Amino acid sequence: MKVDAARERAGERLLDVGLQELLRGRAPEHDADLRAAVLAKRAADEDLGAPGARRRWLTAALVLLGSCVAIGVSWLQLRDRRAAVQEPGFDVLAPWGEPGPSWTIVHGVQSLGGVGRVSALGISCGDAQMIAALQGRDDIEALMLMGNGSKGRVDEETMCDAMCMAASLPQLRRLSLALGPGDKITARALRELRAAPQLVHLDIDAGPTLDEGVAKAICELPKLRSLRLWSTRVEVAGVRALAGTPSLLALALHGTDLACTDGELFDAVRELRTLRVLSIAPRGGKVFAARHVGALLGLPKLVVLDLGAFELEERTLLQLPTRLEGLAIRVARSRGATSSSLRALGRLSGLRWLSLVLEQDPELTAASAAFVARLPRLERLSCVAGGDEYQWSVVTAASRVRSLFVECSGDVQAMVGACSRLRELESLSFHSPRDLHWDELQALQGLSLPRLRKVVCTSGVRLSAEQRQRLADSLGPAVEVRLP
Amino acid sequence: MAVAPAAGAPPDELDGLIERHQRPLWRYLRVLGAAPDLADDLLQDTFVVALRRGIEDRGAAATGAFLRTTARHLFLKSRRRRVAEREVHEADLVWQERCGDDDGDGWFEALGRCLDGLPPRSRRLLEGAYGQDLGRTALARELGLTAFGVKTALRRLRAALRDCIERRRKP
Repeated sequence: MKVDAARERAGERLLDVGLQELLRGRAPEHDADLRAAVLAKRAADEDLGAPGARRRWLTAALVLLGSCVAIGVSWLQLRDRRAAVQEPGFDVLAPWGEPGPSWTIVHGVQSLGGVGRVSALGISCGDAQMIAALQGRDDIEALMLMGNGSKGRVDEETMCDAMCMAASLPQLRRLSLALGPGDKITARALRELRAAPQLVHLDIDAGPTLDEGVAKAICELPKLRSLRLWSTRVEVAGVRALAGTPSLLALALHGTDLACTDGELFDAVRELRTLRVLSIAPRGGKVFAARHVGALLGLPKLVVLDLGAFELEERTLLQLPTRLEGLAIRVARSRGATSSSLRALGRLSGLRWLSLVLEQDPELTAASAAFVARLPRLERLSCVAGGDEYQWSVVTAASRVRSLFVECSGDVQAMVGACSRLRELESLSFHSPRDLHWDELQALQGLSLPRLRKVVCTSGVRLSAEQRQRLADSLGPAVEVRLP
Repeated sequence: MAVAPAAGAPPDELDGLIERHQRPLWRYLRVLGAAPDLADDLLQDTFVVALRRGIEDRGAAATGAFLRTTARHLFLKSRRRRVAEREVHEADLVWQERCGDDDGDGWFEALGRCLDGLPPRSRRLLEGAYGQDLGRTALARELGLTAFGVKTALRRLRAALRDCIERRRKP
């Protein structure tokens, strides 16, 4: 059966090649370029040297070329710095369109009628009836296409159908592809999205290898601003090809499997000169050497940088540009963090967003709190720690913060106590590794902050309807309480 | 095809080698599953290997077989063996069956004739899809169809072309 399928695929490829050759002239003609390229490669293979005078001319030419390249690069950097302006409508502190949409997941076209108009919809892309029913809907702004689960893989044709449907949605701004390992997102399928008039955010989970072909297809999306790839294999040619995306401002590569060396990756990333936000976190908790940060500093417009996967060296941190508005770091001695290196971060006075992952280390925690206290513009803080007591000193140091995310292991009373000192706080989000009970959550009733408008718990809670109501009543009508 | 270059010297025979084998080798790599850019690169590498090794004059068929084997190994290597070898093996067999006699010239000629026999609208659909790389949405707009209609029409056209080629290639 597998043999038949493989033969059928090969036959289809043969037909593709034939049609492309006859209708596009895609096959190579005999030309001198190939001959020259072959000879050049062979010469390089054999490491042939240029003798005598020829070698001197070659050296001179290389020096001249090097000088021209250096001048050109300097000119480009200068021009980029001058051109580094804020893109209208793009918030570097919410590059992925945060807060994310509240998805309505629908299984089966019969259920669609009961949902009515919906702005964020999640469906299975193998559901042909659903795909047909959604064509041209003008209410959908965010669409999540999921795999078929146990029903089998999504083939290329099915994916093309789903992409065509997505492209037909006039209001679509966000597309999330949450697929399985065998599902076929190909460059051809992605190209169908060229017709999507408003698409600015693309998230791909467990997608195809980001090779040159896929990247070029992504480059053809005219308005794409943010691209997030999870659990995806990344080739260096693919990253380099993303430089062709006309307006890519934010890139995240999370849980990715790198098919290249770290140096090649960062050399390629350095070519994405429109980037303002960058986050790279490879699979398996891989740690990048501090020296690679230098490559990222060559990005002229970069203002938000996730260094969570990097070694932190004081020398490197001292090089971070003061234009940074957002930074994520993992404060751990195993990553090279020291009190001294954390103090070096205090010079980033323009930081408006900071994400810290703290380890249980009193000295580093105290240093973190000291540097956070020196950030006059800090608006948003995310603080996750191995133990509660380690993060509250950092939280209280961020006295002017307006949005806070913390991990709370269960001592809600301690969290409320720390937050009570944040008089500017407007939004509090917290997560717990376990379900929280009323005995713990009732401490939230003690939150009394003049500007507070939202309290969000992203972990499980065990509350009755009455207890939920009591909580909402105690915080007052101005505060939106979101509980799972 | 005589190809036995002296080490370090540009072989005069390279032109002939490229002229005879460039196109079928590129077709072959595409059938194995290489993307166009990768096929270009592998084409170069295959000829480099051929030059480095030197090929004795065993005729065009033997040279072609050597180049295809080299290209196949380079393709597998480039994909770090992620492409199942069975898949490539089956693709190789398909190539041998349909294009092995004449490096695909007969098969491509048959396809060309089948294309010539198509009605203008069908021909336009194929030109848009394969010649100009227009997406289904754009083609649907141009031809007054739905995107699904384009998909269905392309599927039927491909099936018809396969049948037509088979009829023309029957002895």
